[in-house]
Amino acid sequence: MKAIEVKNLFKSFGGVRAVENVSLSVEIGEKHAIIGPNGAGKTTFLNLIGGLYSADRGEIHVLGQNVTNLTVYDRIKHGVARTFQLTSVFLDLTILDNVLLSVQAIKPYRFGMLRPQKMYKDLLGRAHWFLSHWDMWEKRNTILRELSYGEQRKVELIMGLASDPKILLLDEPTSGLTMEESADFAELITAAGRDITLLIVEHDMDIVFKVATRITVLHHGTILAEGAPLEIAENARVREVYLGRRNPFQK
Amino acid sequence: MLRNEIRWNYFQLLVPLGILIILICLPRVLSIYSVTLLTEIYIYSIFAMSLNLLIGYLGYTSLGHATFFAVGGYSLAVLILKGGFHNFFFCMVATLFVATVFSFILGLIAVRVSGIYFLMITLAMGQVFWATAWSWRSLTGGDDGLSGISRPVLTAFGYRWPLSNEITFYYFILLFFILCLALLYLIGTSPFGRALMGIRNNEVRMKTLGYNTWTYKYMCYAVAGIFGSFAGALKVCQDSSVSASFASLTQSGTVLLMVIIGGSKVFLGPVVGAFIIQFIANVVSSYTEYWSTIMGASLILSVMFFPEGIMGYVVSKIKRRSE
Repeated sequence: MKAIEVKNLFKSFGGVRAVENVSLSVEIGEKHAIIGPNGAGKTTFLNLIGGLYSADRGEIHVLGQNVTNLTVYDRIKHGVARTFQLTSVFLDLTILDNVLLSVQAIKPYRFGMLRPQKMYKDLLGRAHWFLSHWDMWEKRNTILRELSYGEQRKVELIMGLASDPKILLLDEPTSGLTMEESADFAELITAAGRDITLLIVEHDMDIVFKVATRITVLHHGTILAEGAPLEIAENARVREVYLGRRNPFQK
Repeated sequence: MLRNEIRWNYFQLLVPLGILIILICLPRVLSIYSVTLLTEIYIYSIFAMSLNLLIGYLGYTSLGHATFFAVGGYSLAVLILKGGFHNFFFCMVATLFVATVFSFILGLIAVRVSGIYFLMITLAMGQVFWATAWSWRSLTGGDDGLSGISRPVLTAFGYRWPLSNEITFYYFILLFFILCLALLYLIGTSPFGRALMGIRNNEVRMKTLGYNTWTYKYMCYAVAGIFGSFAGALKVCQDSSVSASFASLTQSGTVLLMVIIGGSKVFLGPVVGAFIIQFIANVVSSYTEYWSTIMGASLILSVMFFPEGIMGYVVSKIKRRSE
């Protein structure tokens, strides 16, 4: 069984073919990066897997289940979670509320009306575990709007992990972060996602080569190359359209 | 550390308890007129709080909430007068049932859209209901409305409490007011209420977290409708009559005003708003015929100086001081 299996996926917006005949399979536990120039269709591809867009043609299987026709919220129940390129959090709510909402999403009592959310001990316990693990418990009552961008990013990553996903889709997790923050973030991602299958879209090659065990290069909506990081770094076509002549391993 | 998060703060419970004791004692010192006015304020508070589920929690502004006020009011009146049911409490339960059916049906139409379109579609549905109430003479009595709905007599433990007595009726409504307050508070803090706040903040994110946001919006609309209808039914008990004005745009606008002036982001905001509006409409109007000008001016002033409503302003002041 594969974590993600995509067969002949197509998606176009008007006349623009954003994703064209892409097939890809990701093993369970693999850290798979998708790279490519701007407009290559990386985010569209992620949105197709996450369910935010529906595919024109093709099939998407997650952990052996065909999820092609499922809504975005039903896919989450198959263990898919994601973060966004531009931080997408609940800015008017506190850190704790953000994480609680994420933990609660797949609980059977998510429609419960007659008992305060904070009285569900398992919910609070899980949020407490994540927030103290990531050194944010002391700040739990801060409204997200008042946090720095880097901290908001961190909360978003916690939210991605808090629903206990089997597959985590990360869309440029380090965009907008400083070099130092990015490096920290890469470590957090590797540490947090040990048992999780990662599909990560990223521009920062340092992060990609640090995190990924396998890389797919997209170009004009099609797959240009796929392979282990070293193969990709050496691939002449990839270096021509995207990486440039410098080998990222020869710093 | 976790326990602190859950533990009840007993000191915080003292304040509402004190207020409750004051509310219970008030009829002893107030005139009958003031008691009647307070009773009306409780009913409008339930109505405004039900609308605030949509505005404050979900972030959907409705301009047709009077629809439900009318559904509740007319259901009770029709059941008692035309249906020939004499058991008041049976009629009340049946009214809630009718309200539930209406809320879930109207929700199917309203929740399809958001923002300004939601405002317009609720306005349109409200006008349809108003027109129906106005013209369907055989059922609703048209512009005469329906009157002669007598208040029941409560009997328990060998005592009889006729609700036609304004003071008994005050306690009757106070009881329902507190019940609705508690229920709506629970809903607001529950997983459901929290999810509504998430939708208000960022609906796409809620979907990608795994929430079926449509169902939440639909249920929120329905629950708001049920509580709104309940308020309408209580108002019919108080007035002993119902008319097309229950469904009017003015009614929808007034309750919206209550929420805005009181503050939609604070739980008790709509209650304060209901108090202020009813005070202006009843007390100020006895001094000057220009009371509606004062009402309008107070709305403009409150939007200018307290954009988060009066309670929103008070709460942010208290927060700033405690920091």
